[in-house]
Amino acid sequence: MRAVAVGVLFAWLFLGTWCTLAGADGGSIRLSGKKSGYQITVFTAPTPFRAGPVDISVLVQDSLTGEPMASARVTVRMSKAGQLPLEYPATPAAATNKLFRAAQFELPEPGHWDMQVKVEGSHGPAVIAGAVEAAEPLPRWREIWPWIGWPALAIALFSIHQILKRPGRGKASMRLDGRADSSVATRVSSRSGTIEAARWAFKSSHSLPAPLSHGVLS
Amino acid sequence: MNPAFDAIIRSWPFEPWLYVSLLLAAGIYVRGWLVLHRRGARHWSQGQMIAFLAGLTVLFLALASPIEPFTSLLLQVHMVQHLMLMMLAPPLLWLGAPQFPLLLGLSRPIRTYWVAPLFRSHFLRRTFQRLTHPVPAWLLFTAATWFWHFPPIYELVLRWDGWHYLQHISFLGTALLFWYPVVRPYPSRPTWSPWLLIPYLILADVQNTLLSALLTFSDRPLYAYYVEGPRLGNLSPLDDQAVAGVLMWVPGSLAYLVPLWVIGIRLLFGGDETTTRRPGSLPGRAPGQGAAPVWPALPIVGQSRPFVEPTAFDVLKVPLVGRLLRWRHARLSFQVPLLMVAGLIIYDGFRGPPIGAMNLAGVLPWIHWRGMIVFGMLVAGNVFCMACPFMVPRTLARRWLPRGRSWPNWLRNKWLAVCLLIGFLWAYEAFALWDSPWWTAWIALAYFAAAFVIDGFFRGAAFCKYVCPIGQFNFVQSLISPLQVKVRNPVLCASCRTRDCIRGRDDVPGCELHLYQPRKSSNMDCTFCLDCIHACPHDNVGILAEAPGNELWHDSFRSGLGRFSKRPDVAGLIVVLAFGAFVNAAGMVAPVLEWQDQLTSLLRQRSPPLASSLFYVFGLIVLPVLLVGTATALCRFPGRTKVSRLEVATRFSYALVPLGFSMWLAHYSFHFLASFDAAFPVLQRFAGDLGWAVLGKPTWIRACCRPVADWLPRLEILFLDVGLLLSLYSGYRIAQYRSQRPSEALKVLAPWALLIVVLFAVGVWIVLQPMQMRGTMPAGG
Repeated sequence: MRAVAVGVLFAWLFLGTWCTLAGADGGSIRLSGKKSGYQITVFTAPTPFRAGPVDISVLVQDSLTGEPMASARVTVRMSKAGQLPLEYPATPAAATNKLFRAAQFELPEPGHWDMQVKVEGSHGPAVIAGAVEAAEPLPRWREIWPWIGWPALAIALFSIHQILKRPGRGKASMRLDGRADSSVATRVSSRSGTIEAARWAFKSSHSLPAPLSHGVLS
Repeated sequence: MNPAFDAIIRSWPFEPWLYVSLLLAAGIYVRGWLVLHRRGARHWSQGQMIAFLAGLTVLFLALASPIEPFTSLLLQVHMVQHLMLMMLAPPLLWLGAPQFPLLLGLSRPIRTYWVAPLFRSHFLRRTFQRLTHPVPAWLLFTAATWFWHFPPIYELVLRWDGWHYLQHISFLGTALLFWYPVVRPYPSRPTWSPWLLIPYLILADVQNTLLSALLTFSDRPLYAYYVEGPRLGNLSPLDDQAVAGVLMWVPGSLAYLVPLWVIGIRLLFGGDETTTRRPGSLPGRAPGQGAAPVWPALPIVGQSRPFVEPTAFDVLKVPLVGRLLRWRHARLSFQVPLLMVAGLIIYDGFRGPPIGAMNLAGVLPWIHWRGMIVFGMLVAGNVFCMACPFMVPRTLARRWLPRGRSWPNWLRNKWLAVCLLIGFLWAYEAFALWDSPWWTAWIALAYFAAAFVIDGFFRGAAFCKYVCPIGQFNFVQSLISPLQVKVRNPVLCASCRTRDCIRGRDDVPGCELHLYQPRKSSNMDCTFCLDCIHACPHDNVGILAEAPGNELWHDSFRSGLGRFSKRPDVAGLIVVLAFGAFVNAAGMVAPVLEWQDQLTSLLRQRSPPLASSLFYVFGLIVLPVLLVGTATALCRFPGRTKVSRLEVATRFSYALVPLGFSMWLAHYSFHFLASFDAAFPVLQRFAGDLGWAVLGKPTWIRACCRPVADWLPRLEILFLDVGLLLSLYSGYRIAQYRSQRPSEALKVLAPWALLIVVLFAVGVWIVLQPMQMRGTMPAGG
């Protein structure tokens, strides 16, 4: 059985190595239309679209059959008055959904941008264009606030844990390092609390009977 | 192969948090299951483990397989994902009876200290009891199903990732509650009649059928997102919705009807224990037998031999690694290669180009060596002191120089090391040592000379214990390392009369830093030289795993150190290193550099050393004294406890160690991970200068202009987060030592907690600023 468990774990790790470090696909549909035999759909992220790191994903399909065209080459061009135009190839490698082509880059400024997506495939070249408004970029800390803020959740959970641990609710007499507190009274009240909890548990439904937990947890 | 199909099967999302969570859950379960299976194979079958792992696999496939990227294109794929989350994964997980395996799979300290109070909480037990009763479980499950399929809510979910995650968590959570009464995993003991499950499952199927019928037979698409989106093949949104409805109807109904049939057969024809069991009675006992409930004969409680907690992980017991470390000359085998590298650094520092980014002395010490030190301390311990090249000439010094003197009493503290550290950190910025291979080479030579002279004239590893700034840095940071050289069985030491671990035996020296193993506690002053391991005749000293930070929480007497609360010099060292981490990193970020330039202009100075000197004096001396002094003044111990201000400041300073280390780790790992390949062109240049063209021409582009990966600041913040939590917890444990109640401890901790949080906020601010990429070529260079 150890072999089965290890096998499953290795299978997950193996599948995990297939995964790419590509960013998100999809987002909001920005442009969609039929051009030169292609059905081109352009998604932008984030939502709302804003300056900073952006992801532009394109799905190219045959306009008649709806079949995705895996061999088409896609280029994304962003231009703005007073700015040098930005041009990036959109590739399957940058997309999580390999039917898409994605381009991830840094949009330098907010404001009105003209977006042009060029497709070159078996039906020849095609271009779809449109305008997009980019909002002000988020402050850096707002982009990564979960990374900064999760310790507050951990502190809250710890506080709840300490409240539950108070005498009268059943004390844990062990430290994090597994060494017992030196107080004998602590150990005695812990054990009597455990036995009391066990008696209560026999009368409860869908709870862990305390003798079982006593054996496991002590 | 069809290109579209090929693209589909290659579309695996990257979800590292999911992988980590699932692997952790599986590892803990398997560990606990193996223990239970050994003790009672009859109760813990292999099928249970297979079921639990299958449940985790279903979760993985639902959320991290090609299903996930296609949920935004096809409603039917989204439906399959939800069915996996709600109908397949939860029953499999419960069939694995996971409560005890997951409990036993945790380490004992976590189980008894963190988990036990939760299981003893009346509130939690009552809440769980109520939530898993069929009535509330059914209501919550149905409410979640209908709520999230309501069109405006579903649109929100499809357009915003946060809502999507909430939806999945809600589906999984309510489904786990729903399936718990159906599966009734061991050791649950419901007191309600199992006949209740018949209408329970029938009504669940009825609501499922209603919702699926709405989706299947609707004459218009309910979710506008799928209408606006591209269509794959010739499938219209309405057809897609109808297929989704059929999937929800048929497989969804089967998920209810199959267990309904199984339970019905059992109830009608017997075989279910709960129908004959009275509340409070035991399985297998006839009614009336036994007056009072006794502990049931279960594998855990009724075991024939006592449960023996496995001993702590010992590196010396790892194959190959342990054997290598037990070898008498193991340390020398690590020191010699580093000695050779140090020689190359000194040589290139004097003879090579004076540009830091092109010289071994400008790259290897300041990018690679510093990064590897902190990573080494994070995963092991004081590995650099173990491999310290400066100690190799010491062996020669002891043969040539008279080693008869004792280190002066007035210097038997850390104050000299504190002054040297402040001086070193200041000189690093003031003279831009990082950009001067020549100065770096001289510093390395000075280290060799100092070790040679001091350990040549004085006994007792005085250089390591009282002088070496690098050693002091390593000692302090390794206070929270996970490994420690310590005694395996203290009882054995009590009967030892020879005390070879400190006196030595034959030609094996004992501990020269005066750390007597039975009383040694923490990595402070331990150079991991392993002399005590080689000297102990009972093989009773190992390199054992330790909970990080554990040594900061108690104030017991420690060999070679005394009590932490009586060592203000050690506290001073810690404060300088903790604040030094932030000051050193801040000195490289754009806003601080601009401020220093403005100060230089204001002072009408031509060169920046004065501004950076003022910055370091303020950051390393004035500010720590001010902040630590303020926290000490505000810290009030309750009642009649009389503690001097110095002792308070000393004791609580140790709580800064984790946050200080996390800032060093964040900073050095940034430079190491962002610029580690800057060493390759430098090595190519060095080899070329020596006439060895085997490495090719230097590719300087590798040492230049690499944009910082997006995940790197997140990793740095993660380090700071963990440091913050460990520092706060350490402060809490220190405060608890003299407090009667947790509320008193919190009052005592409050000013120090504020200081720790302020330092954390400064650290986060530093991480988010543009930082100088030292040791790399500038753009265009």
